[in-house]
Amino acid sequence: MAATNVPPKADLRRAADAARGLLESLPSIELPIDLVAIARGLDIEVRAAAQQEIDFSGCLMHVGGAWGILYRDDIPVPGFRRFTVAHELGHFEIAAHHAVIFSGASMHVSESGFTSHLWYEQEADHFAAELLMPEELFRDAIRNSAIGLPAIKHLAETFNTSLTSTAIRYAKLSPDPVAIVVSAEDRILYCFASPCMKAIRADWIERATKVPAASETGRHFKTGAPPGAEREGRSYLSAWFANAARDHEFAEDMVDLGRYGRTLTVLHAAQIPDEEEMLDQDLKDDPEAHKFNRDGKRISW
Amino acid sequence: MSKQEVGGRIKQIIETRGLTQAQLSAKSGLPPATISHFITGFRTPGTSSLRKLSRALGVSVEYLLGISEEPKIAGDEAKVIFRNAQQLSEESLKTLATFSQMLIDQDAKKKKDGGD
Repeated sequence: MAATNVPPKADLRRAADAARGLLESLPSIELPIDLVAIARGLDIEVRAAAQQEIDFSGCLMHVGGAWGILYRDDIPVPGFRRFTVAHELGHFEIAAHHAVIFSGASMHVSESGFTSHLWYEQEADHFAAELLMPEELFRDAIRNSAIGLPAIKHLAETFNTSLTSTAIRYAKLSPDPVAIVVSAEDRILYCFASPCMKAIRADWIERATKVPAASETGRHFKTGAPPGAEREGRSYLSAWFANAARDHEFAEDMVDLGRYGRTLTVLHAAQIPDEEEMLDQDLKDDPEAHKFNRDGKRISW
Repeated sequence: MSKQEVGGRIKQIIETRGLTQAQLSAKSGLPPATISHFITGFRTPGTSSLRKLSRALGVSVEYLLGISEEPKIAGDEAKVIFRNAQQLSEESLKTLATFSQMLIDQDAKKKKDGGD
């Protein structure tokens, strides 16, 4: 039988378990998570390097019996640097990654990012998110936060993580209807949505789709603004999610991330109204509208 | 390699050397129950445990994992996995070589000081 060449699939549960196991082995957990202390406990040397010294975000090195992590420290977002170190700790802690590290060439070059397709990079990213933003502590913090971009900013400060990685974690764990969208140059790069958004199929946007013109993010790309600029407004789910089973006006918060012209958009609502509530709202909004009772008799508002 | 295979390899090494699980526990600093769980395949050793077993048994982590058939701990050839790298510049290679040497020196010092 011919061998099939199916690429391995990321085992995100394994990655999360490895991060939880590492956290459980610590004498105590304090926020933000102290990565340097964790690395020291594992006998891993962690060093920073300047931009002119390395042209990659970070690496995990094994030589002789020693392990080390090298990361670039010129990136102005501390959360990004911390995510890189946590990502490399993931390669160390997930035993299955050693097969990649030790395979073939002595130097294994790979690329990563929040949407990498490589199974071990996805797992290391998942590990990093779980290590820096432990699920239970993050859920507790969400409960004590506002909603939308202010919540993400507060969480990023608490966990000392980047706005982007915090926003992704927030979208995955929030009990509210929330979606986050990262765009660049008026095109959508990726999005993540909370479980209740998935329930109405408002959770997927094809990569490189144009940012909706009828949105604050669309207006931002049209008019331009300095890095760090923020906008607040409202936009309809249908403008963003072509497959959404329901349409509803959501609050839209947007911030220019200042790196590579990227923006972070947070779409949120206190709840997704059911169809009956939406009909009632439509009728209330329309002074000419009428409603019928069970006997078919027309009732005026 | 599966949990059972990693455990099988540990079992094979200690049997060949006439070691008991209790002796391996004492040498590695891992609890006897943990050693037993690894050998029976009930649990998979994490990286920290693999390092302890590697040092206690004097074999490489790669060998324990079944990635390599060579039990000896690798020499000074660095193995690296990168994040967000496309092509490495001359400067990067120099920095990596310096970092690699620093790790080797520190490791040698630890062994000499008896810290390992």
